[in-house]
Amino acid sequence: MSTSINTDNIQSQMKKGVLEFAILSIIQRGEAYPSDITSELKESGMQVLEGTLYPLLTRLKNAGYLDYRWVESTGGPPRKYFTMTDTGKEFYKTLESTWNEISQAVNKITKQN
Amino acid sequence: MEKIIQINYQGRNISIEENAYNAFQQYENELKAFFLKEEGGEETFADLQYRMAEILEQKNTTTTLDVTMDDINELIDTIGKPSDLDPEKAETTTEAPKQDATEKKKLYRNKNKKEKVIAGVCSGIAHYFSIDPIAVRLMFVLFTIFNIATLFSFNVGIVAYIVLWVLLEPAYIKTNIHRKLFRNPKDKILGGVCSGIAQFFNAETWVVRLIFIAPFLLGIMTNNAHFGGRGIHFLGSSFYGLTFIAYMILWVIVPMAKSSTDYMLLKGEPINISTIQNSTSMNLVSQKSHSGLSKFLKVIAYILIALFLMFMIPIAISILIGSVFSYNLADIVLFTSVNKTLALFTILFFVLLPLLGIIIWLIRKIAGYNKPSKPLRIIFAGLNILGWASVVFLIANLVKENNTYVSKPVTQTISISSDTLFVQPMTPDSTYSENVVFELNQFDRILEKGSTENKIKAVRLKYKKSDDTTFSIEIEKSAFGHNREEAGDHATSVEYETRLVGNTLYLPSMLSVSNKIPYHFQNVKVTIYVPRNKTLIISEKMKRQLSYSIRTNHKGFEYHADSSNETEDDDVITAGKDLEKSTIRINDRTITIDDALQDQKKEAKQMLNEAQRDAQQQIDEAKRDLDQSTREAQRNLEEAQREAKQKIDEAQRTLEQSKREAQQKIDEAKRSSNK
Repeated sequence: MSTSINTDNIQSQMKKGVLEFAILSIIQRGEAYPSDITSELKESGMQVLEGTLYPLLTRLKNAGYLDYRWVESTGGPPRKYFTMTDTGKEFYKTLESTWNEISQAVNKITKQN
Repeated sequence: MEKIIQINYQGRNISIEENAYNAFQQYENELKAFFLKEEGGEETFADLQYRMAEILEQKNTTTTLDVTMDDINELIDTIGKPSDLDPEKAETTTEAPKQDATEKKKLYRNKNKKEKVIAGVCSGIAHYFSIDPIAVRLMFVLFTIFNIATLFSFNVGIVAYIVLWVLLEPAYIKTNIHRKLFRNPKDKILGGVCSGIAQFFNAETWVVRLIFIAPFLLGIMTNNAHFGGRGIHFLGSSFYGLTFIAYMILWVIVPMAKSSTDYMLLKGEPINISTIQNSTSMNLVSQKSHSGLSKFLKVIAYILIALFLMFMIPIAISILIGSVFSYNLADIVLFTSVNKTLALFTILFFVLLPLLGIIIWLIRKIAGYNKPSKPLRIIFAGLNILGWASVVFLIANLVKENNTYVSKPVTQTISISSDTLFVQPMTPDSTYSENVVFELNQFDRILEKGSTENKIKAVRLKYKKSDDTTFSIEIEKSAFGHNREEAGDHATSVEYETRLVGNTLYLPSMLSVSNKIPYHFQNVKVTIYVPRNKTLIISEKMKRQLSYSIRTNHKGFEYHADSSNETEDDDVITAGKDLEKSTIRINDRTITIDDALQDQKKEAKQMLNEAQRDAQQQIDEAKRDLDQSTREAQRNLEEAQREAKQKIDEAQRTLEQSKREAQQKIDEAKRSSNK
């Protein structure tokens, strides 16, 4: 690792942590299709590549936070829809409280400027 | 226009431009390499494949258009390139090819079951040199076949393969084929094989072409020495045929480069989206779809053209050579200046020009000038038409003048006293050296021009057996002409006088015709009729002057190699007796007598032989007797000797005994006296 502080690197690290929270927050509202998630993130100003989203979903699923089911689509193979498991919901709640703490703290600090 | 292909991707039918598909495949491979590194990556990748299929299909269904390069770029923007997805991991993906590079330095044999054929030796070699395994296999197979054909005591190719099989460490290699041999449709003469090979090896196209065509040219040049007609042999002979056959095989085996990717594989350019987009080979040649049959027919056509050329070029060259040397003869046949001009044009524009044209065409093709030079073409075509016209007019003129054939035989009896007729040439031999191997002056000697007449060597000599009792000679003058009358006139105008001195017939080897009119192919046939049991001797000089073309039906003639009174090589011909028996009985008594004499002679000889045999037998017997008696005498002598010896021995023994006895007696006597 280089000692010089890389702006891009910090940015991506910031995004990364938040991204999982944002995705979970979308899914906890209800069943979601990955491309719907990206479009919703995009609408709210977060650019996420599907190539980034998919591995994240797989990881969260493997960790037991998410589950999926196949939904028949019109013409072509079925789509994979993701839902949140109970452990996922608990995980989301801890993330949510962490996020609230951090955001409050960061807001407070940045407002003083 | 890009070529559109139909693909089935993840169970979805998608119509996509070919270069777009290539770019997509490349991208997909990159993604795969990226995701398979992390845990659970296979699932992610599978999900992404579904997703990409969905996106591609959407392009088809929503826009009813084919998937283009732009669409692929859009797809890549949505999914993201590996480097965008995770720079850290992307770094590790770039490390992967580096590992490959270190692997490449060592020669392995490939144990990848999907890629190897036997033991993965060829595949490993191909990977080591980063070339198409098919090329390595092909070289190996050809080398092995050649090896078998040349009958080495052991097969180097197979032994080498087994040795490498044992020695090389096996490794799992996924050959990333950088190069693949294609035929090049952009720069082709026949099938684009040479130019494809040139691209594959980064060589100049003309060099490869020269390598392929050199044996051909060599073959044509060496065949010329034999005045053509050896085209078939040419193909069969080892070296010439080799490149030809190799070309045909490659033509059939190697696919034609059809897309930009094929070109990049051929040239060994790395394939990724940027190179595909930047590649100059994007603008494709229009694809004429050749069915297998039409391609096959094309190949056949080219083979026929090649064979045709192989026959025609030597023939054309020999016509040229012939026309130069038979100029004198042509001069009197053509006669008029019109005909001579036509003949000149024929030689120049009907024979020489196409020959030059073929050579120029070949050179231009080899040099890669595919664009025909228009002025050159027009000039060529114009002059060639002139040549064709000249041929037609010339032939028409000559045929008009010489369409009727008339021959006038005249028979005369020759009365000679002897039973042997000698044939000698009228004029003594010229001083030409006869030992020239290739007689350039041969054509000159066909014709001798005089002030009022031309002498032409158009005389044939023939002999036949006759039932008459006297020799006779038939002189048949023949000629061509515009009609019967003219042809007859031409025939009778021939001067040909024979002379008989003693029992020698002098024959001129040339006939004379007036030089005021064209030569109408007048010729003379001399037939000598030989009666039974009489002998005809044709001198060597005569034979030589007639170019050894004396003809006969050899039936009923006897040849004698040795002739007592003439030079070594004279033909001594006797009308023999092996005619039908009836004829012999009725007509020729001498034969019968001769036969009887012959029989008596034979009998006498037989008797003599028998007598000799008997005498020999008696001598042999006597010898045997003598031997036996000698042996017996010897035996007797030996026995006598033995007996004598025995007697002597016995006598000796008796003597000794009596001596002993006497001694005893003496002793006894002494003892008694002592007592």
